[in-house]
Amino acid sequence: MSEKKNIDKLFKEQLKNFEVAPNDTVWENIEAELNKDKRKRRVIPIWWKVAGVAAALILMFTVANTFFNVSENAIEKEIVDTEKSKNNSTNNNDQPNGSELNTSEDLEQQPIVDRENNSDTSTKLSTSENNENNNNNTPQNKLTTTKVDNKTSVTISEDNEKTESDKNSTNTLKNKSIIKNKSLQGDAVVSYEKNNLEVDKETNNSKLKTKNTVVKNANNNTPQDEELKNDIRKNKSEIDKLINQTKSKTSTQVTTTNTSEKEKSETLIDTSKTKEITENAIEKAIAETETEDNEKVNDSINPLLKRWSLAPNMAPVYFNTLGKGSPIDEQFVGNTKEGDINLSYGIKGAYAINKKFTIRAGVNKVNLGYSTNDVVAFSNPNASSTSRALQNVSSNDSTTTYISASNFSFATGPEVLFIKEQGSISQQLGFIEVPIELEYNVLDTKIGVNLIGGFSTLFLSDNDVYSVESNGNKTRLGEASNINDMSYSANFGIGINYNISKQLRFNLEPTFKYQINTFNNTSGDFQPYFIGVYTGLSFKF
Amino acid sequence: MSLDQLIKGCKRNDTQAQSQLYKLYASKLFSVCLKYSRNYVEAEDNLQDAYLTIFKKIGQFKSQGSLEGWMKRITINTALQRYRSAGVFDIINEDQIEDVTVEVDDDDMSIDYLLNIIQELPDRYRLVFNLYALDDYSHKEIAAMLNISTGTSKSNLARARLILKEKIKQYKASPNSQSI
Repeated sequence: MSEKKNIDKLFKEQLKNFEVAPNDTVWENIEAELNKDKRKRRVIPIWWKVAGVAAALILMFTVANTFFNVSENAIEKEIVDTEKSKNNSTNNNDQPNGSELNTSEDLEQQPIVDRENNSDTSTKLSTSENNENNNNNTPQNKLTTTKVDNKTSVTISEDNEKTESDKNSTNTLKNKSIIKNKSLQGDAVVSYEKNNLEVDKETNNSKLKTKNTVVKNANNNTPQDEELKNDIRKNKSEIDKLINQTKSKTSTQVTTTNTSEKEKSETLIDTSKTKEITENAIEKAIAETETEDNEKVNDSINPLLKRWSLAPNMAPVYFNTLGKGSPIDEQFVGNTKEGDINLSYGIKGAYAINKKFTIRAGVNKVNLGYSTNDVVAFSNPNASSTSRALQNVSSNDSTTTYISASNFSFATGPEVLFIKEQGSISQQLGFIEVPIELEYNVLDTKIGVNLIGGFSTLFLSDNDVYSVESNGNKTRLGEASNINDMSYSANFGIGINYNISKQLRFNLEPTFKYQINTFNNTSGDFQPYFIGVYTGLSFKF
Repeated sequence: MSLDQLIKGCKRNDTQAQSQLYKLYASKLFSVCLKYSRNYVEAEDNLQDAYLTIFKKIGQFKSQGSLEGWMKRITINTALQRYRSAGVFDIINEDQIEDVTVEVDDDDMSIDYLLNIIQELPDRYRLVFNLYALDDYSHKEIAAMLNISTGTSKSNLARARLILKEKIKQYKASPNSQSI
């Protein structure tokens, strides 16, 4: 009744078709864990979407504004509009929640997927006898999963997030990038499959027909599919020679035998052994192309993944004017002006549209100042001050009069009665600057160079006019009455950056900013600009 | 959804695709886990870890060979990893025994019983027996995977066979009594 049987065989045959459906809780745990990962990944992008919307609004707002004459009314109107539209956009974000909740319930009805009957060249681990080292490494690399301890399920459904983000205007950008990634991957997969088909074919050939048997020594670290193919086609004259090398087992060559030689059968090659090695070698080659392809795909995707960066920066800024003129008073048009060097600091966020272009927006505090030299100030208690007041400065000091030194004749003045000072008038302006700029990457190496163009919206935050005496004493005269609350600048710059690490980069950006619409009533041709050398560190993520 | 679409879906982290992929192979892979684990609970843990790894690494799967084979490799590796980190393969001073061929009577035995006695084997024997006898790995491969010598691998296999034979003998003697 019972015959003796090898115990290995017994177990193998008995357990061959052994399948057990696991408990449903296993999938629930997996799902929970997967959702946890997804939520983690999404935290930062959501924040950035909001920032993106804000940036887009500011952009629209700014563009729209430059086309209008900036009267006070217009400004107010615009501000109201923006706020409205901001509210709208927030509403949009909130509304669609829960509108499309169609998740895993559908799954049950889905037909079970066709199972592909692939000719299986890879079910065995791609381990040839010669690559012990590889073996030591691969399993460990593959297995870095963390144990799932937390079994809580995630409450936020992923679809909610999707719907939300679909409505979000900035998301189009992101979608595009995803599609791009996808197509990249797709390409890689397609090309890989091509390679693979060929390898498979060859594997089948060698298995079934045992015409071609390929021995590949794993010591050779860079086997390519091409190489394999070429080697297989090697003509017969080389074959005999190579067979001998196989015998010695130190061969680093490819050995090909064909049927006729096999039929001799007494050749010294143990064909089954060779076949086994062959399979291993082919699998190894496959595995290596696999890793190679992976690397390629990773290389092409990784730079795209780090699209976002955040860069705090600061800069010394130098303010001056291109033409001759004075925003303070007609009489100072001809006076020499001296720009001050002040400080600007802020933070900007950037989004890389592709390898070449980066769009960025930020917020800076910028202080600007300049002095009008050769101004004589004199105090005359009896003066009827209004006639002598500075044109564009609303002052609270009515007893001091300022005159350009060129208009002042010491000969005619009744010197004794006056306390006079020769000094300068310093105008100090502070702005909150919101730049929106486009960066074009000229050079993308360890040290990168890019060109920057864009514009800023400047919101007036400080406005002071000082009288500076020759001894350095400073007296606040009041504030300029002719400065617009909101103005603009056109920005041009050259960026030089140094990649400290993959995440961290040092930036140096000398930037020229030409101011538009800063003053609404200047005397002469006063064209203000400022130059800043922006330095900072940007963090990519 | 074709298998290709399913894979693409998983690469996109699409929950529906992931769920389908799970369902498609859960039974097969769970049987692998059962064979490589000490018990049912541990097998479940292994299956969970294996699938998480699969979903994480599916981007590296190149539609080459069979998906099932790839998933099975990951599953086996997950099981091995568990014992590797537990130090099961740390050097044990054990006399190495010769490779033996063990033959047993070919009677019908329940799969449950066979599985049971596999699970009862000490970890280092069970894994080698699984890898060699059931999943066709060579001693050299096993040695590399478990970071042991081929001698140890052969010795462990022989010991596993002897223990299993003993268990089967006991079973034959009193078929109704479950193993210890």
